[in-house]
Amino acid sequence: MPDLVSHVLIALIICELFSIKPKSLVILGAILPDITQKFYLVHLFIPTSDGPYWLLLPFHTPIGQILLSFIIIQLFRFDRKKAFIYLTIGWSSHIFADMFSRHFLLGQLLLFPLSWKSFEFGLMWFEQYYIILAVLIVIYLSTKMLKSHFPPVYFTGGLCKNKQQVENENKKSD
Amino acid sequence: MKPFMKSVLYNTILILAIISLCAYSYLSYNKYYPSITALKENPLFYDGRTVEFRSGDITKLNEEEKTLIYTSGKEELKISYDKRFSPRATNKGQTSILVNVNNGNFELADIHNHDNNYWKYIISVFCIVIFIYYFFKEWSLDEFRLIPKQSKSGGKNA
Repeated sequence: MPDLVSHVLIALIICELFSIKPKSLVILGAILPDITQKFYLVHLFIPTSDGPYWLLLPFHTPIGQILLSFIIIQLFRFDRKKAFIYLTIGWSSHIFADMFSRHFLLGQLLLFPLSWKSFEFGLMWFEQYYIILAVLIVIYLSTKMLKSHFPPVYFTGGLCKNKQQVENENKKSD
Repeated sequence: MKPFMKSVLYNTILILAIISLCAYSYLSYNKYYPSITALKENPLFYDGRTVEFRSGDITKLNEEEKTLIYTSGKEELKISYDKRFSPRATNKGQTSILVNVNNGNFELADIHNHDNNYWKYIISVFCIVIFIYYFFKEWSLDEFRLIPKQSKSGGKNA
């Protein structure tokens, strides 16, 4: 599992690439699986059993996140369909990124509660988070630089248009 | 049905669904990924299986007997190991271990030290700062709901 900063960076890269606004909904989705499940880390300070980990585990599965997203979107006075999609982009990116971590047995329970089968690509151990973090910082800064040098492309009606073309068309229609 | 009652019913169903999932996970995990307590209570039930523990660390090591004590929270497990391994406690992190259950004995099958992993949690705190920055740049609280800031000045998103 990458650290939360990496998850936020992934969300920001997605927002930059697809010009998503408001970004905070995607970021919220990206940190949601960890801020809900990681309460079990209390065991670092107070010795507990495995119980809290497994009690909160559904919050780190797609089904748990779908249910939670349905609750969270009601807190926003915003297009609910869009809010749900943005949150889903966020938590999907989180779970997908976590699949790159390596564990002996237990990875991501993508099909929970139908199956307890674990899925992961297992590329690196989770203490090697700094490698992912460094790569993501480079990608994020490159994306920001590219966007400042090249105008964003808008996908409208199947045609690729740049910002100037879209603004000209809007002026004509006015 | 009134919209308020509809909303109450909708949220009750969602919360009950989440509670059910949590309860199912809590009550069933020992069948698939047993805890140290479950393993010690009924080792023969898990005989022949390989199990993983990753939230604890090695607290005692007896190099003469080739045994170690793995502690996770308040649970401890005595594990024997062979000459393939040279186990050690992790520096500022957890240790992942893979254990073979063999006739009620626990044998080390693999081990990995996640050195300096706790730094990750410290770094992660910064993410909360980034998140709060972005969140309150884009949203403001209006009575009981969050509204996009641009909508207050006549934006399209409200």
